[in-house]
Amino acid sequence: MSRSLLPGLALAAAATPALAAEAGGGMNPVAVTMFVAIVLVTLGITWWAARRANSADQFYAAGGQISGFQNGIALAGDMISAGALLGLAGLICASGFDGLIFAVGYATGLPFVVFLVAERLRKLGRYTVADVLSTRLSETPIRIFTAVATLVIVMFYLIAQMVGAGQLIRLLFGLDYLYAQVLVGALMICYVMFGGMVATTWVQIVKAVLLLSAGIAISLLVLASFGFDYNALVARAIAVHPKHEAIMMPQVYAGSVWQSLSLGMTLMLGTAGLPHVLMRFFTVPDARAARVSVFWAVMCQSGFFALIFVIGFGALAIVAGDPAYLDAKGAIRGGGNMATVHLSHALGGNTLMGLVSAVAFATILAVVAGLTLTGASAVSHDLYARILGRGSATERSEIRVSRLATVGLGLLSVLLGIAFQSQNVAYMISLAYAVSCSSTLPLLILALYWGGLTTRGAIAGGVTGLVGAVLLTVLGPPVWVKVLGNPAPIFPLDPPTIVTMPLAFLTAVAVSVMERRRAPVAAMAPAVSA
Amino acid sequence: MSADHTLARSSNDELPQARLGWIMAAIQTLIYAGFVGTFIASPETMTKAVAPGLAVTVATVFGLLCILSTMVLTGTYVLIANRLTAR
Repeated sequence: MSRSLLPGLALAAAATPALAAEAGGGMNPVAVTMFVAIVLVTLGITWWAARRANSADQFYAAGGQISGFQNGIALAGDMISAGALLGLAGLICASGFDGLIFAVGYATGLPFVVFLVAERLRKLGRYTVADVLSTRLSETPIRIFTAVATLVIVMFYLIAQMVGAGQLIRLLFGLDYLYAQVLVGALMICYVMFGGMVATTWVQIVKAVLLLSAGIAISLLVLASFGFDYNALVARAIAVHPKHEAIMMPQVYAGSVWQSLSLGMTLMLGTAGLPHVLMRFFTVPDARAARVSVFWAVMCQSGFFALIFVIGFGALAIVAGDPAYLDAKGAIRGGGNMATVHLSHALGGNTLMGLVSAVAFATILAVVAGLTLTGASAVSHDLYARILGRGSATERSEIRVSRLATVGLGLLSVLLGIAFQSQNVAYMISLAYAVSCSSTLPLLILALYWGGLTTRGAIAGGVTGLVGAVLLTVLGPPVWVKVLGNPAPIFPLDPPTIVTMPLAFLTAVAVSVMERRRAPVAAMAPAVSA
Repeated sequence: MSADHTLARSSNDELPQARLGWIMAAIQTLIYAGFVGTFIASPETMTKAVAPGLAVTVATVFGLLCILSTMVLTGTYVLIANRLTAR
């Protein structure tokens, strides 16, 4: 088992195309019906939203008219990707407790967003994180930097999702990888281009409700098959895995102390810097609604991650112990990502398996749509309207650019999804989280809470964190060893957050302090309420 | 850079819940650090059964409590903050 970082969300490659339909013989009619229903419903939402998404406010932020509860469900949808439903259970089947380390880590991320960031963000911003940062820093450099950091995070996250989506759809529906890429790309462009934030939010809500219902159903069925005795379930899981009791010790914590700390930190703090999560807070009417929305989001996503404790051990106990779901080598047919799908087949036959497959498909669509919208906003709002157009671009032209950017990002992600088809992309999610922890998060926290931050300090800190995170990931185990095939990494930690995040904070503070010391008059501009 | 201007940053006036946010963040960090830290400092504690004869380990219960704490802390924060800002 690779000890690669954050495999949870990565939908790690499943090499053998073992059709899920094999288990039931032929195409699964429930899966196909649900699949078509999801496509029709989401396109219907898009058609409805398209008639409203004509102003910039509607396009980027759904007119600030999404209620706290609705936004909370959508936010939970952003947090629970297909990797959380399928990848974590697969990871538990392969190496036991590791999967739960990720479940606990991801769950602790969102509360930080409500405690420290959400309300201030809503108070100060309009559409993007750069809006918030440029309320008190020099606009041009800070927007360019934030847009670049946003695009880096979004693109890595998007490529990982696209590659995972292609492999998953091939497994679930027997669709060729290439067609799967084109289908996902076309649908996501359609949602975002025509429906903007309104459609993206509602697609996310539909998906979150389906995903939570499926998670609860599977968990109840797993528990029922063990007479609602959780201990019996865990005991069976331990008995089934060839390593037995050893699986209760996570392999990700078996390395050095620094490695464990760095991973723990990244899982907890990465969420608070992810641009597609932060952008959700501009869709609600006020700071209070922003707060309420994170409450619902935490309830849903933490509830879901708690279910992983049942679903994961359930997959190990039921699927990994049943030869019907294993290949000749004793591995799970179709790869670890299929563990949850096989589990649903074991519990509820073709019907439940069809439902779960369709839910996984809806999950992929919703997550890629949210990412594309965030990337397109960085291009059209930050780079085009505010920098190139110097704020004088008309709203019409800004929306036109955001639609063009959506098509551009969509096509790019399809092309990259195809290019990276047979590559190990697990590091990309790790990298997105590391960059988030080391660039957007430090700038946001300093800008919101430290009056001493200067523009130069912010840029210096952000660039140091961004470049450091990318460089150390390339020199570290995920790329240097696993992609480039070198025997030993130059930099031992994966992710590098424990080095790069403090470095970004220190650089930002040091440069700001030095600048203010050198030019105290200019720096001590009178407090202006923005 | 002269373009820098300071916002009205007396955070406690505009957001009375600001201090509460930091306290909650600190508690959340402590709980999660407890989970990660115990695994690092004493893996044998975490892999022990919660009670003799059971398969469920200390870490399994600790992990679930950690997830539960995110719900409790967020709920508490939202309740208090809503009350503070209702005036």
